[in-house]
Amino acid sequence: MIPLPLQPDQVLKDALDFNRKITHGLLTLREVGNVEVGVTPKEAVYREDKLVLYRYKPTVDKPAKTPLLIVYALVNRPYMTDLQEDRSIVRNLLDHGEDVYLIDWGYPDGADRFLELDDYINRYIHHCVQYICKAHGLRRINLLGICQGGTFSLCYTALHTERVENLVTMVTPVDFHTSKNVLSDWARELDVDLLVDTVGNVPGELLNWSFLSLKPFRLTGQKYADMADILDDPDKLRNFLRMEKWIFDSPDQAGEAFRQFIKYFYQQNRLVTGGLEIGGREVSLKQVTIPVLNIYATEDHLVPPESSIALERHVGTRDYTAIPFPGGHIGIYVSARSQKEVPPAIAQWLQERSS
Amino acid sequence: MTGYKDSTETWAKVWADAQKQYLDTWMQLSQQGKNWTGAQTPFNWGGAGTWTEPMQQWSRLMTQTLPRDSQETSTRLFDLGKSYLSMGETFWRLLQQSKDFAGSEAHWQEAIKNALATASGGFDLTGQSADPWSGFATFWGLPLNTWQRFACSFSPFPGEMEKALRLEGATAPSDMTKAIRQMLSMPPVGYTREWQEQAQEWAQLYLEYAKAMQEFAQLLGKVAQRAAELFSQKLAGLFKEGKSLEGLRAAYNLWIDCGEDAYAEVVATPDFPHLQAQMVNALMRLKRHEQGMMDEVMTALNMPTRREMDTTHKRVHELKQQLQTLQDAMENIATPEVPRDKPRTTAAEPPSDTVKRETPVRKKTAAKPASSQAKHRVQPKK
Repeated sequence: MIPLPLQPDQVLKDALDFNRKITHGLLTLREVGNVEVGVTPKEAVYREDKLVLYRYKPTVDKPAKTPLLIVYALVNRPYMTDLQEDRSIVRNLLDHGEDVYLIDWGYPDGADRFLELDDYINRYIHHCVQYICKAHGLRRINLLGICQGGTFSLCYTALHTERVENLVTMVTPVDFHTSKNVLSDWARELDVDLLVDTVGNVPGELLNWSFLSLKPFRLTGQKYADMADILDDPDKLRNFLRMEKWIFDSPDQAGEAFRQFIKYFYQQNRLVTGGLEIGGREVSLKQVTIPVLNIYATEDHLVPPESSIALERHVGTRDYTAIPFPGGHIGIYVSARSQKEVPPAIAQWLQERSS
Repeated sequence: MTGYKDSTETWAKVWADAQKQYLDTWMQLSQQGKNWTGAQTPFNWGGAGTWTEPMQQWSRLMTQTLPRDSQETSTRLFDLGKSYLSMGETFWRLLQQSKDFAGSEAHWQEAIKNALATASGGFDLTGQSADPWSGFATFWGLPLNTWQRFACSFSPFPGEMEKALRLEGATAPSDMTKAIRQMLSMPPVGYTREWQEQAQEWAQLYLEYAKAMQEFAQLLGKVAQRAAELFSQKLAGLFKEGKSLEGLRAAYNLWIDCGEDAYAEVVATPDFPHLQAQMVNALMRLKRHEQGMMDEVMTALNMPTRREMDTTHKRVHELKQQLQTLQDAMENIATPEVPRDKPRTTAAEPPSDTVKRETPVRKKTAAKPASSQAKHRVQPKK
């Protein structure tokens, strides 16, 4: 007899139970309705093309004098930082006394196909910084760059050091050629010129396909099996659906900016090997001489920790702090532990350096 | 059942009750010693699709009534439900076979692997299958046919182009493919020669894409095969330790772990990024060519083309950059920007390459002269 540690009647019962669970759970799914994301009160204060700059309503009487601008990635939507009340980095930063702004890049369409990194960094980010400086009568503000937004923030700081007081980077790729960087390996032989020339803006679905392909069994199978277990709990189901909405809410990527990002960063690794030029000016991490806090996730499968940690070896500042967070690329935004640890650490680090 | 169509809740109850009744009956039959023989299993007892058909009807009905955010999720859940049943059936068959099995450990590991291979369509590694994704994408509903759906989503042709067109010979032995290629290389002649030439090139590019996709799918086929090996090894390990799996869900989780481990092994090989990029690049060459053909048709109809739109968008973008440069210059003339104070710097000397401390350390600030800070100007595009 094959020593398979299962009983036939159990197998049949489990399979049928699972489907019964789905059947009843879908009724809950109908009751739950569409989910809301981005819960903290905010006001649109500046617009340019499809970009909207938001200012969140401070929750303390005297917020920090130097505002904090969050620069999120172009991939996926920035409401991940404010997903729901008990999972909101924004909310926690506000509660710790920060005055928080956030850039929403919007959804590029065909008319945005020729936007370059120069537009995103030297025009969009720069104009947002200028707006905030003017609104607060300041010369410099703090930046918090997340993921690709962290890479952009490093470039911005290198090019406009006089505008940035302190820089915080979260799960930010710096060295794109470290070992076990699966996305980088996949991008090496991609003919990105042909891709962009063909599709124009790069469809969000293509990026989703790449991300799901990193762990296909878990992300397209097991995750939904786990979901079946929470189908009778509307609150847990809402949490799941918010995350699901975020994962698949992937804007298309402006073609030229995507071409440059893949080529200069993923394929040529210019941020650390040199030769990176944006808007006709050389970008060198040695030019980043302001205080830098670098937070990375130790289990990050999208941005390997080594890729972020590399910042220490290349950045010009001598006031460099690294905080490893025990979790993954997503957990660092939304896990209960991150809510308790990450925003307070950022706020404390900034307050220690407030001038 | 159609009488309950207007009430989804009633529909759900009826179906759930039917399942329960089915399970109870099956349990009774098992207790009475019914022998399941041949292709008959409790999963298909009562006729083919006994389980999946009501589920599909239910899924179609329910999906329409769900909020937009939940529709995709419900589809995935139903797909998973079908996979779950399929997995249950595989295990059930395996357990039935096991009653008569009297081989060594190596033999029964092989038996488990074979059972999984049968369930997955044989891990087709020969390249002969009509569907290059068979054996992997369809194995318990697993997932990498996502590429196929994506590839078709921005094709100018409707539906799943790859499946619909599937050129004869695209996945055929190399000698037949060679013959097709030679035929496609024949010089076109006559009044429509230009169009013929383009159509021939399209077919060549399609063959290249089909080949690239086939090669990538074959590589993925190794994942399913390796996952099955790992799975049977882990089951053997559990058995040796005197442990058992607590039901189908535990088996499913173990299968997922094995799948990810096997996938990680394949992804780590140099072949994976090479073949994946080759497939994407081949698709892009095909699409690019299609766009050119479409543009010619649109031009003939005096309709705007993609090429024209790109030119227009590019010009608008360049104009915008030039305008921005002028605006910056004018603003600086009207109200000279706030004096550029010294950047806040902690780089007191040329940065050292020595490892910095994890604990924040404030260094004295020693800024460079303000004049050394180059003022940024947006460069007009050439």
